[in-house]
Amino acid sequence: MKVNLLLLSAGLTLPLAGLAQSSPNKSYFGINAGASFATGNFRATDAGNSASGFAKTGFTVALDGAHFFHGGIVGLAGQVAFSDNGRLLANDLAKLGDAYTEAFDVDATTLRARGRYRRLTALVGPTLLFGGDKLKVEVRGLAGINQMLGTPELTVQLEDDPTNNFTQKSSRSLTFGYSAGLGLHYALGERLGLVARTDFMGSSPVTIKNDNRNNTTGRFIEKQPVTSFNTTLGLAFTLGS
Amino acid sequence: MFSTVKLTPKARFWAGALLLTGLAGCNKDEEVVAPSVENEAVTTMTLTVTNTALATDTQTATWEQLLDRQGNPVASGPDVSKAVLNLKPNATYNVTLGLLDKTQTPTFDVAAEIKDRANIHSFFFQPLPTTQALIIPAPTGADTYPLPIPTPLPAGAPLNLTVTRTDRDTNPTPLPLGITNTFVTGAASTGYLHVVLRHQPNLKDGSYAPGSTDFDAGFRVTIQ
Repeated sequence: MKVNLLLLSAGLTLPLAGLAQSSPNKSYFGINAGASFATGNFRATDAGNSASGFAKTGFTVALDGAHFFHGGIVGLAGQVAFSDNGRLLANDLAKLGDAYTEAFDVDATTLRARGRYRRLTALVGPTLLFGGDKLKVEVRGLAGINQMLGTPELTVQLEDDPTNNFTQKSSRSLTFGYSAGLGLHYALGERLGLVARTDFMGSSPVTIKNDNRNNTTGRFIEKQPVTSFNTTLGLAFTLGS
Repeated sequence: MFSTVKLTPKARFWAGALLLTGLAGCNKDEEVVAPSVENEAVTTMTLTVTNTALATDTQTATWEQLLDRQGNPVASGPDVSKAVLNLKPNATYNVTLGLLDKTQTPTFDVAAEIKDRANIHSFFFQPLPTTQALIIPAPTGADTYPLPIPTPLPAGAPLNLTVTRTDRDTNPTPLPLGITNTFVTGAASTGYLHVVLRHQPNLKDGSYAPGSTDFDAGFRVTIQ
């Protein structure tokens, strides 16, 4: 992942490295949408690893903006983004079910899942915007809050006792969020631009609560890491004269 | 600079319907049943007892119920000829419990697996007769004690044997397992030892009741 980020940074930055800032940077706001690729343990599908999140490639929609001090290259950026990283599918439940069946040494387990990974992030941080009049590169690092709007809720029924269910609850916890990424601004007109972004987004582990979990056996998750690599395309509207 | 797209009421309706349909589809619930791919049986329980004061005083008692190819108990019933313990009075014994699956070749060590799954299993030991409250409930209805324990249990002087489970699982509050134990004998007496392996997935709380019985064995005990 680090190598990918470096290559991407180099690919975006090198062609513009020789470009000096030819006009003052204007503050802007924009809207972006694109794909959210779950990464790391958030994406992992190893049922033996309690941190595996079985998250999917989903989508993200973001509103963002930046203010550049005195038209310089340094600014303060902010972003509010909604991201969806999918739900548990039947083959995910089959993997988890096999693991629970084995761990609890029962004839069968029935798993029911509902809900999706959905989160809202509100981040602010420094940004650098440099390049020519037509094409600019933005590098920014943001931090703030990550509000989970939900995680998949998983109910496991052990067949030895149909009344013996336990549940991994959907989480709506609030955690520290962060992102780092690059943006490529292409001016379509005096006030309108096209922006392509790629950001790595993450948060401190999300708290997962479990109901009726009496014995420490099998997959048992209380902290879910959340990381994704988002690529978006959007429009930016510049402000001021 | 900016142009706006105006939607007719009909177009708005269909756009809304499409959006709602998409969202509903995205929230689909899933349900999957995951059956067990393999199930080991338990055919044999052994108790290996060693007198703590006399290491050469070691003996093994075995209770065995072999199974046919379909996994049903063989018609001849359990072999209890070796399910016998002869203990000395006022002595302390270290006891290790063994469990085997002789339907597999080579014989499978079930006790090792139970140890790995200690958090959902528990062995219970009931000396019989007893004047104490029963740890393991007495059989009712058509149930019977495992041979060689007679059903109903004849009245008699209690078996002067105290069993303490010395191993613990790794649950947040560690609970006894019963693979390793201590037997403390009192005055000379005779009776039986009822041993039950309980399977308590997500239910184990130290008590006998939750869960189901995986294995049920009996031993004749003489203290003299």
